[in-house]
Amino acid sequence: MPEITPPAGVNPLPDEPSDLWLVERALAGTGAPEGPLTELISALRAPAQPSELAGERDILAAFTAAQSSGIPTHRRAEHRADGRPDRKADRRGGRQADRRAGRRARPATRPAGRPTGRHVSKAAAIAAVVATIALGSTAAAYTGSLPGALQEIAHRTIHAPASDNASSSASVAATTDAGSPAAATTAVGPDATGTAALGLCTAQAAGGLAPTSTAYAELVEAAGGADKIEAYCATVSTPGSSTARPSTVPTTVPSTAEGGNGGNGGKPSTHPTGKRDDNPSTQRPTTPAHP
Amino acid sequence: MTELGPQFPAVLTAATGGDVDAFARLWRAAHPPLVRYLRVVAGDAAEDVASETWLKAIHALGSFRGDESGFRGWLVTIARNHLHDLRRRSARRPESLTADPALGHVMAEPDVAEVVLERLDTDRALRLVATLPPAQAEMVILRVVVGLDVADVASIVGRKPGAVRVAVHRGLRRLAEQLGDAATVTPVVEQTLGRRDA
Repeated sequence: MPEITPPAGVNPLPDEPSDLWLVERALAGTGAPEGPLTELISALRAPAQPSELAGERDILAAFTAAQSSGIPTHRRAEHRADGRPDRKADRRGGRQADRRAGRRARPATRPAGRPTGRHVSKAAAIAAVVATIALGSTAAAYTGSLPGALQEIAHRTIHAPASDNASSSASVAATTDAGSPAAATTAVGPDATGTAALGLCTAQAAGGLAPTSTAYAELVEAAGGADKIEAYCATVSTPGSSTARPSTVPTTVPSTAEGGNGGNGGKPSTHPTGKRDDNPSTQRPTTPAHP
Repeated sequence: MTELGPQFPAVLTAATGGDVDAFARLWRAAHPPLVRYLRVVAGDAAEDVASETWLKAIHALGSFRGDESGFRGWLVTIARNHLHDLRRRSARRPESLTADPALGHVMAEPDVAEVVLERLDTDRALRLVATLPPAQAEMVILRVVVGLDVADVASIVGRKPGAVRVAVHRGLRRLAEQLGDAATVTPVVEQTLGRRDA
């Protein structure tokens, strides 16, 4: 690198390297001489390679599934904007007494079919997305078309190799049912008649089941025909919609950096999700705003 | 790396409202730096951790407030917390040490001499950064690739801004020197390797 002198007015602090300014200039892309340093920085910042964007379809499917399963990140934003989280509940009939008493309507008193509580719907959507990803992985694994990363997610999310039908099915059941062990099935393959039905239906709705996959075949069988899938899926209940399970609701919801941890909420106790209070890495950057 | 720039606030708002196209733009802009960061700090688990980070981000999107670099910092924080959990969990289950793919903590330290012989592309540059001590490598990536300013990097890694500035500087200088040295010794090494291969 050619010998350069710092510009006038740049006086490094005593404990700072004398050419700190040079690195800062290279980082800012302003006036640093060409050399290994600028070459390195350019390579690190090079435009995205196709391989780095290969997972787009999968993550967009997860995004779509999260939207359609009723988790409205935008609804939460509206609530925050007007500061009335239970505005809709308050509008419903039969809340007069609650209001007079100065109490908020409680999520448990809402109609079972449409969970509007943030916690309940959040848990349900996370379970649905986890199921979508897991079952999408299982299905794709059968057809040999799964990206490696997602396969790994499925593997770790449901704690079963995708090729291991029995354990995979049981784990998916436990996951989608948000931790109710009694509901776990022992069927081989994704049991579309059991608690895995929700995940299969969600995956199907999100376009995630290949027509040639075993998971799709299971769903067809459970529905009694390919043309009956839609009707069948309409009868499949959403976890958290029938009865709120407060114990499975993530308690860390307000913490944005950990908001999705509820995805682990339904795991068997042998896979502890870990408490957050002893987590030293919860410091956050100052720039992002938090509730 | 492509930034959304002035369009970021509108794109974020649309994505938060459920617009999948807007979310796709958000992802295309923020995923590459995230995954590059993770390749250095999480090695083989990078893609997994990145995917899980985005799943969490999707659900918390409505609560994010900030600008574009703040958004990248937010993603990094989610990823960091997730990695921290993975490592703590694996520490509790030592029997799974070799079986759990999440345990490829840091990119296996490559041989510097080998890496510098290759053409300097993004892959090689990332592997070079990974030869630095882990904490220093992380700060370099956050500053250079994720594009955070010194204060944000300091906040994320829990160090003083001055310490971050100097660590990044020293790390970059060291790598640049290795690249510079490699440029002069390369012909000799190639000759040696050629002879050995022959």
